[in-house]
Amino acid sequence: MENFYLEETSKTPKLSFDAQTGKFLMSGRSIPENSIEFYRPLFEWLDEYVTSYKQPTVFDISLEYFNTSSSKCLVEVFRRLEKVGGQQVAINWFYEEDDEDMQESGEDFKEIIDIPIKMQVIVN
Amino acid sequence: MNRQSELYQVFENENLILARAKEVMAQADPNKNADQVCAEYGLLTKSYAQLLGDVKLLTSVSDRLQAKINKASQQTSRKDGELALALAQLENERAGRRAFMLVMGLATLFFVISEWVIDPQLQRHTEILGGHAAVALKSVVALALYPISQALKNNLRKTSVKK
Repeated sequence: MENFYLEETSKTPKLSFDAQTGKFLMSGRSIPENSIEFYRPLFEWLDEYVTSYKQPTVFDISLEYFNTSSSKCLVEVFRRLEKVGGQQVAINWFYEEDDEDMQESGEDFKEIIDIPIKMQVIVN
Repeated sequence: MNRQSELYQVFENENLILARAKEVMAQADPNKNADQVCAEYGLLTKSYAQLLGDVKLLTSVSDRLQAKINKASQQTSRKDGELALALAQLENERAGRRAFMLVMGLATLFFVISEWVIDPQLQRHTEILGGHAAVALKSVVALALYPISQALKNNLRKTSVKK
């Protein structure tokens, strides 16, 4: 299975998903013109990943900004990872020390996702 | 893709769940498939709970984004005000400099004319008061320089504002 990789742009985040090592990264900003169009290929990749691989997966998320439809797409990403099962998946939610919005967003996701989300503060 | 279609796709799963529930209800028969309907109802309840969680999250995210926009808008307004003030001050300085240059030019011109024409005339026609008259005239002109400069500055400023 090939890895999934997209470079960061001014409106879309960097996506780096390594199927072999189980190391996932999402960083930058997520304000695409059409969120579903941007994230659909990732959804399809994840659908294949969760059926093919049952390995420890670490997902690092370091977003500076995302719009409402992107947050829905993030939920969809997390819901797919829930299918990996058990305690195999861990999410690290990175946020800047003075960025209360990102911190609170991470806490919101923690409320609804059945995957452990660890809050990681980036000291300036 | 229009906005409605995009929103439909973002909530594609939810739409599928709703479509399935409608289908089940359309075929529901308490005498034939009560257990199936019960099981489907259980699934629907679970999906509803999930959707409720999603809606809470989306509302929370949306409120935060709105607060961010409001804050950015306030900052922009404040900066606009500061910029307008800075521009007005700059215009004032510029008008002041131009007025000063004009007055200096006029003063120089007056000095030259005074030395070549006015002073000799005053000396010739007022033998007793000639020297004093020249000094008095020059004093009046020197004193008038500041109000002339201010008047010119105000006029230049008004002219630049109209432009």
